[in-house]
Parts: sequence; structure tokens; C-alpha cells
Amino acid sequence: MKIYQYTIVFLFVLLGSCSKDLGNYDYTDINELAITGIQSNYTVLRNVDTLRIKPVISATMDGGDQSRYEYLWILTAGKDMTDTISRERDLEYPILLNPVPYSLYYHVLDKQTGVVWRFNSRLTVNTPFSRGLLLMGEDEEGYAEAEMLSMLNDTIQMKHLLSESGLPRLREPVSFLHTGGISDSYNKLWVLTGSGSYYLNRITMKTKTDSSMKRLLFISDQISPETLHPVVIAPQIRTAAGATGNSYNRAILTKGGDIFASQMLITGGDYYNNPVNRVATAQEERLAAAPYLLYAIGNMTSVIWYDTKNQRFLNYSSFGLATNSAVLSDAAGSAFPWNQAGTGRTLVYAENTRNTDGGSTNGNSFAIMKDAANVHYIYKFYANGGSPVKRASYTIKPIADDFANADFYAFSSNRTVVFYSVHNKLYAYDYNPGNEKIYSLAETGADEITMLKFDTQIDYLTNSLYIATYNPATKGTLRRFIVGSNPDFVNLLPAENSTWQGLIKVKDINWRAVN
Amino acid sequence: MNKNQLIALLCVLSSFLWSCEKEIMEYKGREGVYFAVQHGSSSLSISQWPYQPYSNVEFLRLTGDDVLFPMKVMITGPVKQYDRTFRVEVNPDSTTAIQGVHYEAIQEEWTIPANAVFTTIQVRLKRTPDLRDTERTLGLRLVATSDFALSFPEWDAIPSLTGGSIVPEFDASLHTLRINDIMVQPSVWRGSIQSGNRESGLWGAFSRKKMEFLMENLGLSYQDFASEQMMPLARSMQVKSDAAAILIARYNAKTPVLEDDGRLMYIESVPWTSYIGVPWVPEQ
Repeated sequence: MKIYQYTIVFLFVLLGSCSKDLGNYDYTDINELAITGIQSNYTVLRNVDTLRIKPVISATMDGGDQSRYEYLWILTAGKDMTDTISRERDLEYPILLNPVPYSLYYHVLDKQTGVVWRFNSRLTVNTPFSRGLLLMGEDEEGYAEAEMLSMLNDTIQMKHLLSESGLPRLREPVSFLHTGGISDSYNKLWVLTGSGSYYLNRITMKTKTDSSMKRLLFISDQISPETLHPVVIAPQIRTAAGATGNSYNRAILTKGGDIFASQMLITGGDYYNNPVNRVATAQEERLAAAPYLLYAIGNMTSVIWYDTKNQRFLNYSSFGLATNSAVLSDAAGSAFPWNQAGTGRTLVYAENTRNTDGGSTNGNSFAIMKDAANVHYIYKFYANGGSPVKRASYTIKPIADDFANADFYAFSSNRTVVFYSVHNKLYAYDYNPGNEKIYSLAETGADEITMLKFDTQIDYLTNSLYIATYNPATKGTLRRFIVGSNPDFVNLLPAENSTWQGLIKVKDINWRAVN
Repeated sequence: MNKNQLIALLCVLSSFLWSCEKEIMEYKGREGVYFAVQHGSSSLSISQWPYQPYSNVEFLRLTGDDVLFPMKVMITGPVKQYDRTFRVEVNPDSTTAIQGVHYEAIQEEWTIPANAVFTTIQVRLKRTPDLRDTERTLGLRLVATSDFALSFPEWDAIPSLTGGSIVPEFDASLHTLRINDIMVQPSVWRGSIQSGNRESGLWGAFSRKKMEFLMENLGLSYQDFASEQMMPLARSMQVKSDAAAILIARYNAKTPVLEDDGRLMYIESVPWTSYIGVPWVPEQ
């Protein structure tokens, strides 16, 4: 019986614990603030903008007494940086920050109540160099010069980037490119010329002569430093946001025809060992490569290159592991032989595209060959992995005027058309078998054509062709055209707001999307 | 101000200035000598290294077959304006090295020059084949003279000196040289031994023979493997490639490079697998 008595007592104790504390408190309203007039996001340019913010502070009961407040503007960048940039009510802050994302905190301390009122924003710092077209060409004196069409909000022409970079004057302009990719530590901004190649500080665009290929090499081969500077770097940027076809594989082709390949996770960074332009059966001999690295832009798992000594295409397909390249085998009846020695043909030009014919998801490459009779051929292939695939071979018909004399070629990714130019003449040749056609185009006028290049970086689906011309009076001009989609006809439509004048004599352009 | 007042004022000022004189005590301690040998972390300065009762003499890190090894001896007591002598002799209790083989007869009488507080004594040591396998020791002891007693027969480690291995107490009138030519695996070695004693990684298992092969054929030194800065991953990759090419060429030429146990020397990229203790059997 006692157990029931204990249970009842225990239940009362439990119920007692449910008793609500009604308390007996006095509540007093305090001064409350509402902060407005601050945006949640700001985007500014380094070395250009001053961030000016005038917050609107509404108080419920401060009686207009501004002396009761203290203000803090706090800037943070991850765990690496926290800085109080102002103690004033309003912010006026010249932007000299590095171009990384920041959080901006506005704190208002009411000294009488001890309460801090906050407002948070995000601050994005860009440089004028963060996004736009990188131009490489010649100035009026024939020196290599780099410019940029900065395209953050408005388009701004940034001049003299190479001549004011801190480098000696260079000749033979080749390219100006950002390596892109997801890893900031692997990214570089290169100026490539025939007389030297260097990487620049990506924020200041300055550099020194020791920022060159030699700092990236751990090699045992003896290679002349005179030819040890890059003229081609792969992979290229393939999206408007700056992605590349492979974030960890990188290949560099030098003026001397050496190819350096790195799997940057394996080598611990953007570093390179002995060149891979050699074959296993003759490891001691480096074979000079033609100045083209051929790969699938969408995913660079391998690189095909052209052995100028033995007139053949060779394949490097094992980044970070292989120390040489593979000789490709030719099956009877294939579109063309990888080994051209038996054909008597030599390489004239080569280019990577976004063309997907034959199921080449990541993009076919094209090569123009010529034989002893000056007949030209187009080879189309998929440089994808250890077993690249030949897609087709086309013979250039005699209707293609001056094809053999062209200064520049450019293959459309979306049509069977190759554009080419001879001095100031622009042609388009449709190589579709059985429907070959030639078009002479007058859109560029009488000015000398200095560059033809299809957009394979920003939005290749628009079929945009960039054409650079030069006139001593008006200087360099760069125009973007849209190639019409009518398969029976080739025409060029000027793209809106896509003509830039007063430039250098443009030799190459590349897209830059990030710092 | 009359003359008397001026004199009085000067007296007061003089007394003030007199009070500024600092009382400098002369050192009253024992006039003695002690081994003042410091070593510690190479990333820190000598001012952070603790005092040590021994020194490692590793011929592997030295060039040449003999070395004049220096040791610092300091004094306690006042500095004198004339030369004073102290003595050093071999301590047989802590010596396994053989005079004439591992070291030359030591100079026993040394001088602390006038106005100096230390000097450096030197002993000539020799690299011998047995040092590859066995460490030898040479114990030295300071001997009291009419000029110097022994300063610190019981040395206590200085608490602020923490930049190396600390010996809490020792006799600072003794110092032992640990002499060897033993090759241990360097700080950076990019290889490993997997189950079944299978060699793996860029460079496989470490061996003296492999290190000497790399040094002889690739122009490397043992010091090249001392740190990540000296041997970054990219350089290691090139070492691997170059070494593998030589090993393969030697193999194809029927003159393979073998480890001491008879197995084929292994570096990643060679087409064979090597197991420690399993000799290579040539194809018939």
C-alpha cells in the first residue's frame, strides 16, 4: 500500500515542477535603431573607385543626440583579414584592396544602452583587368605591345600593358593569355612573344624578367635558354566564367619546339620536368614540334603535336606520368595517316575548335596540310585520350582562291567553313564535300587583316568571328561578326557594339574572366 | 646670486652628479673554462640553441675524408690582458675511436688570448670504412691548470634556450664527439615499403646503395634531400624519371643495378617489381 502513497506524492512533486514562473518584472523601452541606405552588395574597382556609403539611421528615442553613438566599419576576408576601416558615421574609403570577396559590417554602438546595431554587406573588388579581352600585337614602332578591352561594366581600353610592365621591349608578339581554371595558385597571366615570354602580376600587371619559364622547371635536359620561352599554353579558357578544359593538366610549347607537360596535382604546382616531345624508342632525342598543341577544348586529357622532323602527329596522353609521346598507328583505309611521311604532305596550320562532328563531344581539331604540288588538305580529328580518332579528310578545291597564300585561317566550330585572309582580302571556303563553295567577303574593307579568330571561349554557339585590321591612320580595329547560319550561304553580320578602334596591330586575342 | 650662494649651489649640484655614478662590481667568480658547444634546430638562430655535452660528426654531410672539427671553449672569471692556457685531453672512459685511425693526436695545450673570453679548439677526424656501420666516440675533457679551474662540473640547462634537444644536466668540462658515416634515410624520401616488402612510391625503399646511385648518376648530394625546399615534388619527379631511365638502360644492357640483397634496384616507372630480400634471378 505504501508504494501507492509514495507514487501519489511523487506525482504531486512532478506536477509541481510544471508550475510556471510568472515572475514580477518591469520592462522599459530602450532606444532602437533602424539602419537603411546601405546596399547588401557593392562591386568596386581597385585603384579606381572610392566606396561612399551614407547610412540612414532612424532612432526611436535618442532625442537627436548623435553623441551617444559610436560607429565601426569592419571589413573581413575569410579568416585571413579583419580590419576596421573607419570609425565615422559615413564611409568614404578609396579601394586599394586585393580583388577578393569581402564582408562589410557596419556597427552602431548606442553608448547609453550598450546595444550594438548592425548592418552587413558584401563587397566585391575587381580590377579593371579582371574581365575582358586580352590583346597582343605590335605598336607603331614594331614592338610587341599588350592591351586589354576591360569589360566589367563599360568597355575600357587599357593601353601600354606590356611596355609599362617593367619588362624590356619585346618583339614578335604571339599571345597574351590568362590560364584560367579553378585553382588560383595555378593561374598565370602570360605575355608570349618570340623574344621572351613572362607572366605578369595578375592584379598590378607588372612583372620582372625572372618571372619566366625557368622558374617553373625542374629538368635535367640541357636546353638553350634562348628558345626556352612559351609560345603556346594549353588548355585555353572555354567558358565566359573562365573555366578550362582541364584544371590540372597543362602543356607548354616553347619557341624551340619543346613541349612541357604537367599534372599539377602530381608535381605540386605549375611546375615541369623534362620535355615530352620525344618517343620511348629514342628518349635521348627531342623532336621539334610545330607551334600547335591540339586537344579537345572541352576536356584536355591528351595533346597531339606535330613532329616537324619526321612529319607525323604524335600523342601525349598521360599527364604527370609519361615522359614521352606515343607514335600513333594507322589502320588501312582511315581518313588520313597520322604519319605523313608517306604522303609527302607537311603541316601548314592547325586549330582546336568546339566542332562536335562524329560525336566529338569535347571538340574536334583541324589541321591544314599541303603536298609538294601545293594542293591543300583539311584533316579533322578528335584529340581525345590515348586513342585519338580521325574524323575526315578534305581536299581543298581549286576554287579556293589564294588558299595557299593565306596569312591567317580560322575554322568555324558550327559550320563546314574555314575563313582565310590574304592581305586585305577575306574569303570563306565551305569544304562540305560535293557542295564546296568559295565566298569573297568585303566586310573588312581595304585595311590589312592582322588576325582571324573564332570565339571558342566566351560563347562559341553564336559562331562569332573576330577580325582585326590595321590602318596607319586609324590604327588597329577589332570587330566581331556573327557568321550566318544559312547552310547554303556564308555571310558576316556585324555584332552589335562590337567594334573597337584605336588599338595596336592585333595579332591575337584571348578572354580573361577572373583575376 | 652672490658668490657664496653660487659655490653652495655648485656643491649641491656636484653631490647630485656624484650620486649618478654607477657602482660596477667586478666579477668575483671562479676563473675557469668550460665547453660552450651549442647546436639545435637549423631553422632557429644560435642564440636559441641549448648548450650540449656532445656533437654529432656525420661524414655523410661533409666533403672530404677528414675534417678539422671545431669546439668552442669559454671562460668564467675576469678577462685578463695576457694569454692564459688550459689543457684538453682524451677521456678514455667515453672514447671508442682509435687515435691514428679515427682521429689524429689532439693538441693538449690551448690558449685563451689576452682580452678574450673564448677560443675554438680543433680536432682532426678521419672518415674510415668502419664508420659506415659503426659509430665511434671521442671523449674530450678539460684539465685544470694554474690559469683555469673547471667552471661547471655540474651544468644546468639554461631555461631560455629551447631551440634544440635539451640535456638538463651534464659536466661542461667534458665533450663527446659522436663520429659516423652512417647513411640514414634523409628528411625527404618519396618512397615506401608495402605489404610483402614490396617497394613502392616514387623512389621505393631507401638504401645507401640507392642514394649513392642517385648521387653518382644524377649529380645529387645527400643535402639535396634535406628539405622540401631543396627537393620539391616536381624535382622529385625528375629524379624519378632520370633514375628510372638509367636503371632500365642498365637492365637492357645486361648490367642491372642490384641492391645488396641482390634484388633489382627499384624506382617508380621501371617495369619490374622489387621485394626486399628477394634476389633477382636472371632469365636463362
